[in-house]
Amino acid sequence: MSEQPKPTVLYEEHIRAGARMTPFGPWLLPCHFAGILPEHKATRTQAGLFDTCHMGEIGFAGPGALPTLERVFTRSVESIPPGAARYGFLTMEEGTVVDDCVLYVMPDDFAPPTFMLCINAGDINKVLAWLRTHAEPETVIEDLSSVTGKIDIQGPAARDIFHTLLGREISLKRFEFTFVEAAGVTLMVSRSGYTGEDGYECFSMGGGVVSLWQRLLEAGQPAGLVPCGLGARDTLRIEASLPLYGHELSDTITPLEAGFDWALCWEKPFLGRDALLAQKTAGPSRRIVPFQMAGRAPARMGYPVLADGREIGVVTSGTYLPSLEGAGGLCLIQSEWAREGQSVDILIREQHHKAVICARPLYQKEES
Amino acid sequence: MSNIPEDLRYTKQHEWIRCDGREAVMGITDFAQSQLGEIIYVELPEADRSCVAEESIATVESVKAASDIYTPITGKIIAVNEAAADDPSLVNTQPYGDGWLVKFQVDQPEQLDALLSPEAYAAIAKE
Repeated sequence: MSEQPKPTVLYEEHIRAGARMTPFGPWLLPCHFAGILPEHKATRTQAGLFDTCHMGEIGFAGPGALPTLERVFTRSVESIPPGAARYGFLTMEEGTVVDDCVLYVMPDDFAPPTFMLCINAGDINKVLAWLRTHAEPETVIEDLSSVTGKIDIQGPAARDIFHTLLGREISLKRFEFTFVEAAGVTLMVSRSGYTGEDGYECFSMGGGVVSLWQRLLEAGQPAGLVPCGLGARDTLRIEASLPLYGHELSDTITPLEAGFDWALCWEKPFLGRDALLAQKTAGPSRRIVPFQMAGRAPARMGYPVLADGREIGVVTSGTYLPSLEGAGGLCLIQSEWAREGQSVDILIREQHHKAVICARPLYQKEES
Repeated sequence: MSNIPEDLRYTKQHEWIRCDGREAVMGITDFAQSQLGEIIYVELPEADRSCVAEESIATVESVKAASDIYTPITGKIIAVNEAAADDPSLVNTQPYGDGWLVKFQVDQPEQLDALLSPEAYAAIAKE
């Protein structure tokens, strides 16, 4: 039984704007509008608007919610003040990743739920089932995905454009969030994103996403805001060296291998901690690192990485990177080769092509 | 509606070929470039090598994917378009003009008769 890919509530908007649509897991989303290159460039220089309604949102409430989350989420939950969010992982006992996610701690007057977990779009049911298996008693876990819409606005002009629509400025530190009324809708607005740019992620539990999308595009048009698809979302996040579950994270890759020691709270017994501690002590035998191609041929997911005449790993994500005006990506390779400046070869159609291992991120915004 | 010039022949893999006596030039169609999206890399064969019909001789890559290019006919490659290798966007903007890929010396001109007419190609150049 095959299911048709599901469109989001913004489908009609995308079709009207001439988007080329593409399946992404169970979803039907824009791959691009005007083109991946102009959308990527617009997000880096002005602002881009992204339909992220497909992502999952899970609410936690009840006395069991905090102990459940302390057990399944790798960051310290009790240290997160209400109105703040943290990026971390759900890991298995073996230390490998169920999903990467952001946990939001709700201010008292917006609970229930007390906590909201924003997870990847790829397999919401898998993560939900896993969470329910590991829930402490008296935990209410609610899948809010189908009632929660989300739009990301990202880029140097993003916040100003949002403030123009809002009619006032809001002041948040990175990974802080607040609730506002905009375009007639209550939004949870978080200063965060997946592009390496400043900007907001806007969650709506009360509908109004279509109106918000239209009003943001209108408000942002003078400042160069454009709608962006998954194509640009991918090139942007690879440049920022951010992982994508199924590529740099999976049920066979650990957060340590992916470079996220800082997102693991060693002081509490989260699920997978002991396995990860053993891996940390021994040192992970392989690591995710960024690379840049010396030549023009792009290396793509699955292409072998070689050094010293033998295979040392594999490309996990790779493409043309517009800000670098060249090809690059991320790879999972044996740790002894995972050093900045290390020369490697990548096999592309049976030919060796030179690449160099880089520090993360591949693209760094210049501090102004 | 993609552009399908009347004076060319076409393949099921969305290549076009123009024959002029014993020489031919090929590229990818307007439909192909539009399906691929922004082309960011073109890999061409060495000039001066022979090839057989339906052999993969080049690669055209968009941001999202790589696409193999097949020679429609048997012959000898006599020139490749370095301008397209330098500026892959030519394949998007001028697929039948400055975005050409390979020139051949044709061994068997009758092979072109087996290729698709513009009408036959129009029938398959659909989303």
